[in-house]
Amino acid sequence: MNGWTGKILDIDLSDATVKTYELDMEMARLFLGGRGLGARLLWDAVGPAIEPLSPDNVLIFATGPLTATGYQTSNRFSVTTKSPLTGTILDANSGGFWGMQFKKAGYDALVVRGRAERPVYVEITPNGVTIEDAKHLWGARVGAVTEQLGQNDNRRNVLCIGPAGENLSRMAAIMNDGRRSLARGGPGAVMGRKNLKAIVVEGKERPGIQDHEGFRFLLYESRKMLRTSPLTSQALPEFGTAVVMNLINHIGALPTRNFQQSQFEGAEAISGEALTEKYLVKNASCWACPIGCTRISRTQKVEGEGPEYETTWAFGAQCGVDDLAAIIEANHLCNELGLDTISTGSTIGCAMELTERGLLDSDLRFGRADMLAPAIEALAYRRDLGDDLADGSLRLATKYGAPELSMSVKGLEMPAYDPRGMQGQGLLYATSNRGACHMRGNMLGLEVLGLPKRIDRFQVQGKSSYVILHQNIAAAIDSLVVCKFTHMAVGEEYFARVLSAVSGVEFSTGDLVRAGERVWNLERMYNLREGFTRSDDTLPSRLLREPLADGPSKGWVNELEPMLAEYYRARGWDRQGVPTQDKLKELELEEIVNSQQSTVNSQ
Amino acid sequence: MARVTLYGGLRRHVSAPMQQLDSVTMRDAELQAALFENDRPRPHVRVLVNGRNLEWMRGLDTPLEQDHQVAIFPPIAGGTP
Amino acid sequence: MDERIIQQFLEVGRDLFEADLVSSHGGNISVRLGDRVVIKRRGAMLGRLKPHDLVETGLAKNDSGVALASTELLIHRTIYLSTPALAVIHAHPRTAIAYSLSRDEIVPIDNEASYLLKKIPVVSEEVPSGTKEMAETLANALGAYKIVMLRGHGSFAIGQTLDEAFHWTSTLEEACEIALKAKLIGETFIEYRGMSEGYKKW
Repeated sequence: MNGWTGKILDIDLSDATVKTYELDMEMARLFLGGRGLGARLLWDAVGPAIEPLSPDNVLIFATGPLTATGYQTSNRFSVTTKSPLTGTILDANSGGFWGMQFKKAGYDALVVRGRAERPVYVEITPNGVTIEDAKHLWGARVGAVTEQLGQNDNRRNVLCIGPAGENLSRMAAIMNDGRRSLARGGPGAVMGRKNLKAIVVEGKERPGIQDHEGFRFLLYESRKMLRTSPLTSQALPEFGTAVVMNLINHIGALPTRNFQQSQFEGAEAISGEALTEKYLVKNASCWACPIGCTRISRTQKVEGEGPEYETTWAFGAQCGVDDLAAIIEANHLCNELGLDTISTGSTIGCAMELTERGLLDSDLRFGRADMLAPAIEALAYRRDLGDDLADGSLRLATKYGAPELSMSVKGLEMPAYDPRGMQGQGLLYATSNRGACHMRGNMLGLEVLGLPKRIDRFQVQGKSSYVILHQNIAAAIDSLVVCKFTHMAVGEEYFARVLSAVSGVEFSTGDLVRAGERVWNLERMYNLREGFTRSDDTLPSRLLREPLADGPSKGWVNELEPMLAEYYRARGWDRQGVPTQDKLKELELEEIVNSQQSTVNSQ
Repeated sequence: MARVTLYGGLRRHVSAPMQQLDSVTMRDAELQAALFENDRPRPHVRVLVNGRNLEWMRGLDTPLEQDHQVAIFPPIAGGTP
Repeated sequence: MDERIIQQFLEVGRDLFEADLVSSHGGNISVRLGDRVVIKRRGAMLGRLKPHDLVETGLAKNDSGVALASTELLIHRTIYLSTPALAVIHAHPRTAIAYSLSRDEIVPIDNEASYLLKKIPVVSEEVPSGTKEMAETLANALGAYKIVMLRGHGSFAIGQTLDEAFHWTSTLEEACEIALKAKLIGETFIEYRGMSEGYKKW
């Protein structure tokens, strides 16, 4: 069967053993790859007894059946682990070149276990897999590490952590070729705990394709759609993701000063339009991507990739900062230190509110653009207050007596959309398995951009259906793996057909979405096994009880309760949010969940 | 007078990014270049009046009142992949 | 019921009638809301829907509304339970029905439908209304296609919204009218689409 290489690479750093074994093809059919395969492998590998920052936690890097095939945006891959920030199952994914390269090295997934005695890096090339000494790289920043390990015009690609990962910041990212990231939920800290500084890959052979003619037709049709859609052919290339800033501000859903307001007077100054006009050097793109949303920007001090919308918001509106150059520099610093920009910016914003309310003694105050860089540095090295910041906003706010000021769900900081102005977004955040996340379902498209049209952002009844469908589709896309921006122009039915053409196994659109539903439910079972309950499917009290005072979303809170009850029923879960046995059986999860649960319990 | 603001690439179609609009509806001649191309609405162009989509109001016949904030957006896509 | 949901039913119902896609009392539309389904009342006219013509009932289980619901509720429920659909439109597009009488699939030759639909399968049943087998055959076909023809009867389209399912329905009928007119003109077809063999294999 094509689509999968059929091989999993398994490295135990504790005793430096390297093993290769076969991928169970039934597992591949059920969970595809990427996020789905990662969840399935993590289910067996990491039970409730293992702490996220224990050496026994594992990192699972996984590509999907479409990775490296050459289908548009087939460059992505994911990492799955238990999150040091949230304690939930975590997957983070990234584009660029590394995933393509790793698949071409001949593997579907890489499992990293244990802990090396001294800092090491792993090298995977056509000549074999080696574990190398990384003493000379420990402490180095991301750009320098990437350069030293020889990123060679994308013939050799580098994943690494920066100082933040080494210092076990719970929001540490794994950096991808020095400028992209697998960021949310702190996978960089898990890598740091393992004393693993970097993973370098060189690939060789492109994976095979079963039905070449069918595949070529799908490439042709998808290219047409990506070219025809103004979203993928104009909006993303011309202004990048930050172009949504003015729109979100105008509808009154731009979280400002730690979600105290929903409109920011400085939005225009930090918008995609301003970025393009003043700081853009050029666009860039990932492997096999015709969209090219990536921005390369430059200030007087730095030049680098980004910033994306979420980052611009996190250091901008969230911190009350309207200085775009300072935001670009903050983004660049996070890339160098290896940090998740959303959690970093949001946590600093939380510290600013704590300070202004007199609960914390610090210089962090809203609008202080000059404090961003020092705070980020302190956070990455856990210096002074940075030691608290590095643990995320929930632990920070709890320590200083106001946990309700952490704008997070399950401990993961919320992205740049206020759920009071986008009701479905609130349900998405509350139910997302890795904590608050905007990439688990495209509510921006549904509630604001009109894709498909006519779903009002304030509508509550029936909203769960859309959230569930988009969560399932997102889980399927993350398991294939392609970029969600492709889905703005190309429907999921194409992805199902590409999967069929590549693998030679028939997958209908329904089958593909069902696979996404299966992944979602397994992730849910994982979190339940960890002890999460219905009470964790919630939002910060500010969003549920403090109506917005001004703007187009004035008077609104998030109407979570009715949406959540409808959501559980529509998912086939009981009132406590637990998938019923019927649902597990329907999804072919019954055996996995029941047998593995007993295995874990007996350990 | 309603204040009309154009965003993104739509700014190319008018002389200044910010316009003070006199008209009582969106059917103002000056805005036609931004809203229409060859007499057809530009796809994915969004018009918001005080943050509400015109689709939920009376479309282009929505009456504009004193101090209405009108924002016209080109095709937009976003979030961080 | 949320007024925005009612508004969609009224508008799409009227549009289907005005576009000649249903007869006075023909056709049916529904949406899924969580674990509920909202469907047109039995006997109500799509072109003249009123709010009280909409019936809400359980997706899997019957409750009070079910006695009033359309006889085609079973088909709609089966489609919701086995496909990602959140809206279903059953219409009677005339030219498409005429084509369905003599073929097992409709492959459009116009640009719009080639782009959006590629190909429309035709399924057949001896007793074409309301049986469990019929519902399953249709639902199965709709797992892989956005719109399917039931031979001699009509179309079933799925989407995330009624607007979307309406889009597929009107695109199909337009494609069939174009194909019919091209046949009347009767001149040799000049292929203008790249890789057009792919449409037949879709």
